[in-house]
Amino acid sequence: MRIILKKWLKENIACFLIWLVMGLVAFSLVVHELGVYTLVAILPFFPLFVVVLIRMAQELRK
Amino acid sequence: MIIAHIAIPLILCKLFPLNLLALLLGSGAPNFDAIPTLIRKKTPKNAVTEFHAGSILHTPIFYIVILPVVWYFFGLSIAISFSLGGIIHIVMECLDEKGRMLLYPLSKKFYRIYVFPYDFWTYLTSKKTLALEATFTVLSTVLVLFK
Repeated sequence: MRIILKKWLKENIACFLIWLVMGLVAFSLVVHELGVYTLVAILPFFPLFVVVLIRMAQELRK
Repeated sequence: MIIAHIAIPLILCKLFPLNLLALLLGSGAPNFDAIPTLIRKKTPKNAVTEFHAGSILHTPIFYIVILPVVWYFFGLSIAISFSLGGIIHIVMECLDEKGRMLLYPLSKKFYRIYVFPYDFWTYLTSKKTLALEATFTVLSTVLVLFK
């Protein structure tokens, strides 16, 4: 599926905002529950997250 | 599932005496098989046939086999929490178009109850997806704040 990010965002701004809010809420809950150990939960997945962002940017530019 | 992989461990942790950190790490572990897909040179024409969710990391047997190893090093509570996190991740993802290899190594069949799309961009805009993910987010928020 070919996606033009700006166009996709304009068309689906409500979905984007819902995902953003859900993500922030989930992150806040984890910080609330784990405190500093949140870093331990996040660190293993951080490189994966960076790779995802880079790869997605490359895919969208094609 | 995206947010639900965080929300479900939070809910379970509030309902049962489990270790949240281990649950979250177990719940995230299956997604490491996305790396080959992410570093691939060509985008697969059909997302369902990609490597992600098709490796041993997305099979329950992996988390059953790894349980005694984690138990030996970190204790029973952490081992059960880690394995449960991984298995629940896989079971919940059986609701998508691709399904998961629940009976591997006995069978390589992908079992599914097709409710949600598998393709990332379609998944983000699916109303069913948003409803389920939002339900889990609200449930986890209520339980964390009031229990």
